Amino acid sequence: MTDAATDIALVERYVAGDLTAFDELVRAHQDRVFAICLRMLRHRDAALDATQDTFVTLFRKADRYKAEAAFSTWLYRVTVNVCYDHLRRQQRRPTDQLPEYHDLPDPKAEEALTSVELRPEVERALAQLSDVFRAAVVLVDLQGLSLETAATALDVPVGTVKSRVFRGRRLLAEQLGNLRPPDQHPTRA
Amino acid sequence: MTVHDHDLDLIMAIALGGLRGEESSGAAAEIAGCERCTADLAAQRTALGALAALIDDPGARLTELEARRLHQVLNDRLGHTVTAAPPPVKRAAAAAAGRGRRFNWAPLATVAAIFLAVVVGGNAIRSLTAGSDDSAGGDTAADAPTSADADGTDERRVSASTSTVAAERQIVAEATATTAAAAEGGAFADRPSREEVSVGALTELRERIETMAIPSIATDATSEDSELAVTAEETMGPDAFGPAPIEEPCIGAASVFLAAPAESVVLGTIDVADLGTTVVTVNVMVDGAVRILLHDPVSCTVVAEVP
Repeated sequence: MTDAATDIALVERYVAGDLTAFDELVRAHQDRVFAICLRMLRHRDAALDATQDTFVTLFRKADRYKAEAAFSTWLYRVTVNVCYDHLRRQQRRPTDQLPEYHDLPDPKAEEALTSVELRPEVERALAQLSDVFRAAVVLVDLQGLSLETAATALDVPVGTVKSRVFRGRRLLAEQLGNLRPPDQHPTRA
Repeated sequence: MTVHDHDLDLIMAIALGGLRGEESSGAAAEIAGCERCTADLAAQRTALGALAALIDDPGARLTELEARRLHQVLNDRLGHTVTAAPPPVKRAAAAAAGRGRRFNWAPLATVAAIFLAVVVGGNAIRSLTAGSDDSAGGDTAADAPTSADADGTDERRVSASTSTVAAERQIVAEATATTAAAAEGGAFADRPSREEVSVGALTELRERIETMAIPSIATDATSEDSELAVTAEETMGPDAFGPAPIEEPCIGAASVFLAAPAESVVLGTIDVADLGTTVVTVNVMVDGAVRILLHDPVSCTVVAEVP
């Protein structure tokens, strides 16, 4: 059974009253949902709150899911909308800022040093993007969603996602250019 | 649609390296004639290269503690159990605290065993000669304070959530076996008496630890652990702490009580005024705040939090 078919089967079981199926859905998707929330909100605590809200929404509204799109796509739409809500609340309470997200030390990580060193800069640049551009870049470039899937998740036409990704990357490059000297621009390995 | 917009697909395809052979060279020639397209292509490549640093970033995954916290909150909010992996009890953390320079209990345990033999032997002799049933010290594990004893003190916090209680019940169950084993071995029941400390002294300890970085109580048995041990000894006195009869269940109880701190270690047991003997856990929260909990030495239930 594919992941998508497994997800649909789990949703059906859950809607039919099998709560263990909900557990499985949470465990299967919690890391990806959290990663999206973290990139959207930047703070770990806020991301964890948003992750919780996402699954609470899933718990309460799973019966509204129609298997026309992959379950994960529907879940990402819920995730992004929850993040937008959190961002709106943050904007209403500008003084209620949480500590910034920093990489947790992970001695097992085997990334190149340059990649690790870049992360804070890239995170800062990503945070400068508007919410809609950031969502598009996060889904397409970080989560690897196709433009079509991202369009469904964001509930906008494919062309709009494409434009947001394109412009988001351009703004990101500009932000990075402002953060470091021109001769030190990061390039793809 | 402008010419530049028209080339958006092409620029994105080139940036992603999705074109090959003639298609690629043709696209490159087309882009070369458009100054803004060339700049956009460079920007796309720069952004993609930078974003690659964030793909598969281990820091963007839930830690075990965060996952537990997520499941715990979902349990609370949804009223049903989201099963999670077994609590990630920090064996290494507890062990590290025990291996610290000032918390190496092996020699003390030997002394305690000798002491126990002398006291128990002496009692047996006294019982035989005087008919007395006076016990050695009278401070047995069964006499230790419970969460029920602790009600009514300002600085004490007791978890009220049903799921937390359930989780603590499980922890208590786990603790029972360990405690029984500890009691059998006499590791806690007949320890030498210590001077009681005030909660205020523990507050000072909490404030001092708070000035230390989180890695200072990290799980490995490094010199940083000794730093914690030395701070505890400097603040509370050299004989304030004794060995904890149970560690892992107390770390688990602290994790449930505090909704998953970033780090937790057991400092040992300490005699606190009005509370009696308690197990002390030092917990560093995700935001860097330090919270010290006092646990029942038998059940590990949190009986008080140091203000």
